Amino acid sequence: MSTTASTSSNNLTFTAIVKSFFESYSKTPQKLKIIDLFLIYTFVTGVIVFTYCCLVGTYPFNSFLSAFISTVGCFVLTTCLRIQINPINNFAKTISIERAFTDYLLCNLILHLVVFNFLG
Amino acid sequence: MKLIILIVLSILISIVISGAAQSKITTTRGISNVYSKNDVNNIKQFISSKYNANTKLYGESLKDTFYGVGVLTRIGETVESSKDICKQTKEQLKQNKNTDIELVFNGVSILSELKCLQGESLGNEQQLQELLKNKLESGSLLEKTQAINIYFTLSTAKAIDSKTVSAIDPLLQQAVSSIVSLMDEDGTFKSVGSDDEGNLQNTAAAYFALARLSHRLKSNEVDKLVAKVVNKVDTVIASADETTDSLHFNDLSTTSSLLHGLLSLASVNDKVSETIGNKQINQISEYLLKQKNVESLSDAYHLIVGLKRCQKNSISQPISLSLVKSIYSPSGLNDIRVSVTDIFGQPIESSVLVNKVVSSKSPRSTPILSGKEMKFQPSDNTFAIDVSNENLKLGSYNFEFKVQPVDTENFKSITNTQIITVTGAVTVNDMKLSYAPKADQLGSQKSTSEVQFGQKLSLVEIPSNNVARIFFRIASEGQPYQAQQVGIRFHSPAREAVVPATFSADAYSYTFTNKDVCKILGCQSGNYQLDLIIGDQSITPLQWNFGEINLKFNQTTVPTNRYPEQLPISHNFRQAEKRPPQSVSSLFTILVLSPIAIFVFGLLFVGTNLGRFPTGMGFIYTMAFIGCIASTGLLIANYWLQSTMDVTLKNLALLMIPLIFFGHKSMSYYSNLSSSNIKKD
Repeated sequence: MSTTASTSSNNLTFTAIVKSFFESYSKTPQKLKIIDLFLIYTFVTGVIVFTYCCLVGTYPFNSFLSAFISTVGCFVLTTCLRIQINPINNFAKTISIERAFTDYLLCNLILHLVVFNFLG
Repeated sequence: MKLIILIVLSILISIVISGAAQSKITTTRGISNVYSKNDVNNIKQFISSKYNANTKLYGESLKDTFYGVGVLTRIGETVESSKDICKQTKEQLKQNKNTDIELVFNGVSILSELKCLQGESLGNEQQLQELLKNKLESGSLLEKTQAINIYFTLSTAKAIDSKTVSAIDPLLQQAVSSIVSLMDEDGTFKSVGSDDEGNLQNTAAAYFALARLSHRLKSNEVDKLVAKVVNKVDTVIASADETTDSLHFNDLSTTSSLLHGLLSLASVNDKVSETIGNKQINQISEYLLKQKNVESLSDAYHLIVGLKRCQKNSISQPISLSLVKSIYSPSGLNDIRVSVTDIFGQPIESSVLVNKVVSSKSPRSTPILSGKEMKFQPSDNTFAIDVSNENLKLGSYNFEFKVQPVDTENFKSITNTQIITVTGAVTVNDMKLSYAPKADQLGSQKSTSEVQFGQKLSLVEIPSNNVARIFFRIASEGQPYQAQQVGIRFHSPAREAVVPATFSADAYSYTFTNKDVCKILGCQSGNYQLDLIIGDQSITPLQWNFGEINLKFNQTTVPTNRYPEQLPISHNFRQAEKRPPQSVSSLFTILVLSPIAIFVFGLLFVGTNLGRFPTGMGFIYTMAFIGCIASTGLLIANYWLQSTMDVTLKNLALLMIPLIFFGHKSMSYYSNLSSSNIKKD
């Protein structure tokens, strides 16, 4: 009983959680890992843009908004792509990976047309 | 009822008869301008400036030289270096070996004008004969007419041998028939039979050639053919552009050539003069005189040819009546002179009558003078009349002159109206300024101030409840004079107004009350200067400061500007937003770009599977797809930098075609690859 309790308490330590996370994540397909990298990239860029706005100022406001919409939009679209091509979600029966990627590209095209139009 | 019909009919007949009679007796007013000696000198200088000492020709070709020499000989000027020109022309004819008809025509015409052709043969007689024969038999209309002109010019100068004469002479009759056969239904001539329609340049050339042929051949058959052409002359003339003053066909060269042709035709057939008469010649002359400023040798030639044909022709020669001067002082009215000349300013022997003289202000009033003959002054070839006894006041007068030429065969009488202005100075008499409580008391001596012309009244104070009057007379040479504009100007540093004076019974006056001037001067009390202003085209304008008055108004002063004075507008612009220092911006630019490093390093850690990059057609589709996506990115970036949404969307639509195609191909390839891998597994 005590052994079980100590094992479960060991599992709940921060290091154990991180270790467990990386162990599970190592089984994730390479495609999803690359998408995750891209998501981190867009997220960090969005955070830096927002930090600039908070620390320095919003001028020129339309440029700030364009950049922020671009990062947030990209993040949302990439997340959708990730959900669609994740084998766990079983989307492959209805939507192929190629179809999901094509949709992603088209949505990005429209998003960036709007962004550049708003950029001024 | 029958009586009424008879009366109406008789009225109609009388109107028709009187109309016809009037049209028969109508005289023209002549031409308004002449081609003066100055114009002749100008054109001479223009032609001389075109002489090229190196080529020994005028302009650039033999054709230009033909025009240049043609002008100089027609205005009676000697052609400098005529020997050189003859030599050069002969050389060019020799080189050409009589093969180009236009060159031969120009060359022969130049040699003829410069009198270098007398008894001399052009050489290559056989070739010349062949050329003339060939063109007369099967050439275009212009080539036929050029061949005829060459043949006649050479024959007149005896520069052609008897063999050529005997070969060409029989072809002339046939040439007449072939030229007439080229006439279109509207009277114009086609170049060749297969042409759809004729033109006026061809028509002019045909008329001139037919006239020459008719003179030469003197046969009934030719006369009949010429008569057939003459029957259509009215249709050709109807195609002219006509205004009240002038008449022309297309351009200067067409007008001049057609006039030349028509007048030549008139010399062999009298019926032409029924269609083109005195009026048309005067209208064409007016058109030609408007084209004085020539810019090319061709225009100069056609202008002079046209003017010379107007000056000497068998139908009617234009006359010009002009005033020696149009402005006279009252003391100069004893010698009003006019000159009567032809189109080149040469005096014409004639008698001149002053039909009537009326004031320009009332042209329908009783004539001041009528039916007085002018005396010829041989010293300057002018006609003079003395009207000093007619008591003409300052102003403008319409003088109607009737010119009756001695040579009635060549010249027609004309009736011409000229405006003569009698001008001089005026004086102002009886200038009075009076004021009184009532208008009927204004004549009293007590309140009247008088001033001599040129002097000034001392300040007059006009009580606010009084009526005032300014009275004066204007005179010229002791006679009352009514000027076109007479006004009185009230002015002070703050206000100014001009009021018209009323003319009545040889005198002017302006009566005003305090209320009247309050209205025009904005009720501004104070001292006002008084000026008398007289304006008229016949006199020197006059402005005389004749007095000063003091006016007092009980009403509130009206501001000079109807709008209240406003402060100047200052524009406040929004303050520009405070920008961060350059270093902060640069730092954040690096920071924004830095996450890409996370992505790149992450890729190194996660790894990429480039080994699965397709080969063969799959590689081509994939690369093309990536290229299209990159192009789309560049297009959007270009839109941001410089382009417009309209252009961008059009280009994007075009780019979408390969993008969709390669995208589909590439994705199909990957899809097939995945399916086959699954099957294998």
